[in-house]
Amino acid sequence: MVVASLIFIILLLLQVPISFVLGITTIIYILLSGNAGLLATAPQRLYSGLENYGLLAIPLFMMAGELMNSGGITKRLIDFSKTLVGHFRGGLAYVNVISNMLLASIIGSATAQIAMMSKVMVPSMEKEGYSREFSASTTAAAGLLGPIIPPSMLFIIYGVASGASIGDMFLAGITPGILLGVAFALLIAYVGFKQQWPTHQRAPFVAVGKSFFNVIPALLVPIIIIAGILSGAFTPTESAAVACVVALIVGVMYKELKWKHIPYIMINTAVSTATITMLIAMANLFGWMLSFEQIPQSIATWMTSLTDNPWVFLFIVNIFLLIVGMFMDGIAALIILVPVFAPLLASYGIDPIHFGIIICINLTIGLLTPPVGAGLYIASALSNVKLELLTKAILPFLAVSIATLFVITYWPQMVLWIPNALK
Amino acid sequence: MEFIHRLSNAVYAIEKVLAIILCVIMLISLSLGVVYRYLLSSPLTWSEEVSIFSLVWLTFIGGSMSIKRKEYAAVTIVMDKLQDRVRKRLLSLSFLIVFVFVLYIFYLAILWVSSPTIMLQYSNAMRLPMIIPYLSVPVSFLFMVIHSLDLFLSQGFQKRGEE
Amino acid sequence: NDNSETNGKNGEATYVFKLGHVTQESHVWHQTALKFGEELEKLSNGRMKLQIYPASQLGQEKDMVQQLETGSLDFGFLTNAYMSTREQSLNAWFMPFVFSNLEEAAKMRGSAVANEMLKELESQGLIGFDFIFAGNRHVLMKDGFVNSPNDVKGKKIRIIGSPVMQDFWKEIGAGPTAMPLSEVYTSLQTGVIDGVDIDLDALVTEKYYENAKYLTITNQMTFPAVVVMSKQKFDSLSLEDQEIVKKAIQAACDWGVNEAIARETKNLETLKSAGVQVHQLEQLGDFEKVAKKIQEKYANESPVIKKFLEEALQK
Ligand code: NA
Ligand code: NA
Repeated sequence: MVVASLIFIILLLLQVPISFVLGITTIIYILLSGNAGLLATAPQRLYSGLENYGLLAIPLFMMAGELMNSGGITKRLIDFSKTLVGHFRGGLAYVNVISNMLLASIIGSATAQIAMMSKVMVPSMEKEGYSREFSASTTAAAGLLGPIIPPSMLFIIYGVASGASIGDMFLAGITPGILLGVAFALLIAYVGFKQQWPTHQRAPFVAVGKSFFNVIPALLVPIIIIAGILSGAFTPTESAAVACVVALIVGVMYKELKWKHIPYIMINTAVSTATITMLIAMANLFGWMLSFEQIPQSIATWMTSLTDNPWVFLFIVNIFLLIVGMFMDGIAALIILVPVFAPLLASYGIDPIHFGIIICINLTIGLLTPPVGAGLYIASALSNVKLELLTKAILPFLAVSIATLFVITYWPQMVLWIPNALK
Repeated sequence: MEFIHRLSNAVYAIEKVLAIILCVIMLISLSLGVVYRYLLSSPLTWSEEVSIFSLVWLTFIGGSMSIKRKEYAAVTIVMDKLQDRVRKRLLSLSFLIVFVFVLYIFYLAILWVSSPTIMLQYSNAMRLPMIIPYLSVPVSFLFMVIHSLDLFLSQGFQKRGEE
Repeated sequence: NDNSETNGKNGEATYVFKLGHVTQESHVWHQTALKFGEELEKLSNGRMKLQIYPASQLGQEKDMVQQLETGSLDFGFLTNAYMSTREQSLNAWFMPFVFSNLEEAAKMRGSAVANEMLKELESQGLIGFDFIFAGNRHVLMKDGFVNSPNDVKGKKIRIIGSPVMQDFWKEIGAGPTAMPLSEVYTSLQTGVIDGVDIDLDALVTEKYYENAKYLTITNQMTFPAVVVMSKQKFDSLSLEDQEIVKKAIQAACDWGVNEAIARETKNLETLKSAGVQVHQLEQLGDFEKVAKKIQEKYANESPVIKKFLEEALQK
């Protein structure tokens, strides 16, 4: 176990792809533990970790994101938010949050969203005089809304791993998502007031009307998705495919999407999908080894021996997950940890949907915590801000996110009222 | 060495075509699934399996492409802080590790798909021989072997600033 | 190595066997596995122990079969739905409207033809010991009971992706829809599907009746699991130890099958008290034609299925 952990860390630091780090560690562990017979079944296990209907949403959300960027949908969502809140003190920072909320109702992944928005938002904020670190950190933080406001890849993965209803998870994500968005807005208002940012002219009514008119087709994407899911036309997983088709049509309507874009979109989709799904395949191999050794059970037993109180238990879990999130990718952690915690919930009387929201938000925050934080890397690379500077700039956003996480943890009704109301 | 590099480029060209085809298949089969069930009330039995098998192929092919493009999730903080020469040495060690790993998985995968009971397995809905989706593993890991070998070999000849 | 073989005090081999299955711990199959563990321990005077991996902890069924082949897993309870994709004759259990209740299905378990199916698994590196049951399959609909094929014509019914079930529902004129378990609850709620083909145990656990309340007890099919052992592991045991394993399985399966039959009644009571509208399909009517057609099709494909049907329908 110690040797395997050491190898794990060394490989990580050597810049070996994280998915392969998981695979190599698993294989070395199996060899060391003398169960070499298990290795013969490794490729099969690698394969069948992917044979999962819920995972289909991943490439399709990626594709939808690419189509929306190429088709001018993202740009129009931002223009529209600008005419709404652009005139407030710190206007563009709010635009960033609101555009991310709109985008989040279409896209299901934080990293996809951070990548999309870093390219568009950071340069325009910088042009208006915001520091680049602040612009990049606002974009990265607001991107966290992606998997919290439905639809959400993380919720789908949680549903698949725990057996909880994905539809309920989607509904339960709405209030926490809005709460987090509002919390970010409050932080921006506070910073803006302290630093005395300038205010701008309100957009003339004609301009508001025009940009609203322009954004209608773009807003059709989330409307069609939500209406389609609620009316039973399609399942949440299928909604990702519908999002692509609608984004394709809208992009053509805007006359921005061209045939020649399509091959690039598909190739980018393949590569960005694989960075996640390869990780899932390898994490499955890793998790399978843990199951064989019954390690999740021993961790779970140890955790439950600490307390009988559900609130204390949730506190410990949150701290534990925040630490895990610092070092591990959220999706991989979700896949490995859900089977550990899911069986414990009943004895503590914790609702699996509530717990799902907690674990997903917690691990999403991990995207922005160093040393391992995909969201942080993407924002830093795409907006050209040194990682150290970005990390410093993002601390207030992290503090707000963690505070929101604890509100959500200790106020289950806030999470559960929508799914319960619709039952 | 030049041969490996050209081979890796050729493989990448094939992968690009495969990626496009797989994405299109996935999108169309899922969308048709919705159309046939919701609008025509006669659900397709194959759409779920076709999309899942495409996803599996797409994952491994895309994974191989991400090695070629060096676009994978990895921790770079420590390596970025090192001196250029040391960093290059360690980076080529890292590619060597990847090479050995994918070669080993490729070997295991060949043993797997050539085991006698593989041909007995059919998919649930379409009765498709499972060897078709299963082949994604050996094929893609072979591609990864080629890409990672190319990266390992070419690492020593890189100009400054390139990565 | 693998902790399943160390030498006991008297030089007698001791074992810790591994058993995998796909159901949750409340399911009768898990209870049967626990019972099997107890029997093993008792009959071997503590030399044999059983470690159980429920809820697909070791992967999907195709993974478990491979692990059984290579001997890294010792026992499996594998659904007939999966195993029938590898062994055609197992489709016999899915022949529609052959059993009017679970007891009738359970009676076929010890038959010569059932043993013939088990025997055929040996070519896949598996020793087939027995069949256990989850319960018969019935129909839960959002908008009314099912008395004839007309009542489900054009309706979207969620099924397990097995060829026989597909053929059966298509022949009836319904739209059989395959979808993962995790999406079924919401899909019933929103109307992506109109009903489910389901056993009562799953219905109680998954609470689908919250979104669809018309349950017709149709008994259109039964739903067994095949109890198997890794052939490699079985062959490595001494003759006496092989006997112990066989006896323990026999006892556990006898218990498990009776428990499943008892649960069938108990589950129905639970559902009724939860407000589910229950109706018993009395006359097969036009269902009979559909059933005959499917039965003929599969009987023509496999002599084992033909024999199975002859024997089962005689009773
Ligand atoms: Na979202
Ligand atoms: Na992190």
